[in-house]
Amino acid sequence: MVTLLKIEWLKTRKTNIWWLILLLPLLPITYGVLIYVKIMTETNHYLSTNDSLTAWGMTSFFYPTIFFPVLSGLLAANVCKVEHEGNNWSKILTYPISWKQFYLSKFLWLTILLGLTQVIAFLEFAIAGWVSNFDSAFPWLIMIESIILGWFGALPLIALQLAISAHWGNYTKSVVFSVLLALPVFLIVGSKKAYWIGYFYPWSLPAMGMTKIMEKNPSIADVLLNPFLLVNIGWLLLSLMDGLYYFIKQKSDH
Amino acid sequence: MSSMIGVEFIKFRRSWMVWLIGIVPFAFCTLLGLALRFYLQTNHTPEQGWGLIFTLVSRFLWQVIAFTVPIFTSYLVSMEQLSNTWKQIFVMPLAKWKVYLAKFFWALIFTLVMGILFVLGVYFICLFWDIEHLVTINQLIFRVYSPFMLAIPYISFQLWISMVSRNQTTPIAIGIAAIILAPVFKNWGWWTPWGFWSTFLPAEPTSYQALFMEKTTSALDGSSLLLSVLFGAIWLAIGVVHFYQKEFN
Repeated sequence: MVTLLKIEWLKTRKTNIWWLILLLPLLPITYGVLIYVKIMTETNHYLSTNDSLTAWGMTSFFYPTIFFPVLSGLLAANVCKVEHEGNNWSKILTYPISWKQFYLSKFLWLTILLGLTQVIAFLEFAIAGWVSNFDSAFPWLIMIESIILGWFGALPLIALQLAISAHWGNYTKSVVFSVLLALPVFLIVGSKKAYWIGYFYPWSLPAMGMTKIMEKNPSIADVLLNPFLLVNIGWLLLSLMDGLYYFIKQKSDH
Repeated sequence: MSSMIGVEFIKFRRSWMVWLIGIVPFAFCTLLGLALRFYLQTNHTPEQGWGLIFTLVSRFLWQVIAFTVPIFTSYLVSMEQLSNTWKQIFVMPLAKWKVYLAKFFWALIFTLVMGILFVLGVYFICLFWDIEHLVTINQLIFRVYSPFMLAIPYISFQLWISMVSRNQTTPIAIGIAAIILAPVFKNWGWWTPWGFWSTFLPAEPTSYQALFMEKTTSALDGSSLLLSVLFGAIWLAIGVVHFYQKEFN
């Protein structure tokens, strides 16, 4: 598995996905912090109990709802693009490599990339807060929880997007699919009445992890018993197993 | 030129892209219809419902356009990239600018046709919920169609990025970034593709009473439309020049 991960690294290290990982989180984070500092604080004289938390709330309008799911779709499409372009699927699958391991290594590589994205987002937000001279203490624990739960919420989505990208040879098609299905997240997560729909919609799980759980500031027990975690695990198993099944079935038919 | 446009049409005519032009307005208008239904059932007047429709259109329609235009342009370019046929096209006796303009033509048509479907969709929602007497054609063009007309510079810009990018990740990522870049560049960066759009888009209605005033006064502003065409042409020219200089592998 480690060798397969190294191969994935070799395939992607000279692509432009690293710029995406760096810049796509930076944009909503800078925007969220700017909105908080320039509009909420300087213009409307809003008094917050914790600057960082409120600024992170502003960032959450765009980052976990649109940019993060779209980024995961772009990464999944890129990871499969290399194989589609060179018609590598058939070649690799004739080598003595376990198909299951090959597919899972791609999934694992994507989870690592999205984990890295979250770490970068966290650092970018911390730097943006430091540059903006936030007075209150940085809420390390809540921020780390939010980042981890957002990443955890993205796992079923990655599994689903990997299945789609591996299935469709057309790179644009799989990206379009991911982009368009990210659009309703905005409405689902923003609505109090339709929030429950988010549990049935994998694109909204990262946002649910990053925002709602953070707002309630729960204990570990609350987090573990939260339907979010159970639903997430359910979706992850379903997406991963289905994806793997269809991957093996499709590639065997070729 | 017409043969190039015809060739482009043959490439996409049986693809999922044609469906996308209809699916996006259908999905958006269905959600609008549901929102209106809920609103009217919770003791709101038809006038308030009418206000809701145009508030939601002002708030979300430009974002939908910001997402779909990069998809159109990327799709039109991806066919050559996926089949690796750029070099084959260039060895034929075809002017590069014609290839470029044919793609622009279809990206523009996709967007404008989608705009017409949005106008029809919004009208049918109003018709279905008996508030069509409140809506005028002027208002539909001003509020629903003008964002599509003002998107010409954005289409040209996205096509440029798509045509010169090795893969379509970059143009799609830039397209997604538009939902933040548009408000950031509003007014001061009016000359940018995102700023132009956000600066000249019709503002969100302040109240449904304000919409009554607008019914007679609102119309598509000719000067901003001309500016849209002008800036579209500028970005198009920049794109064509870059496309001529670009080496394709």
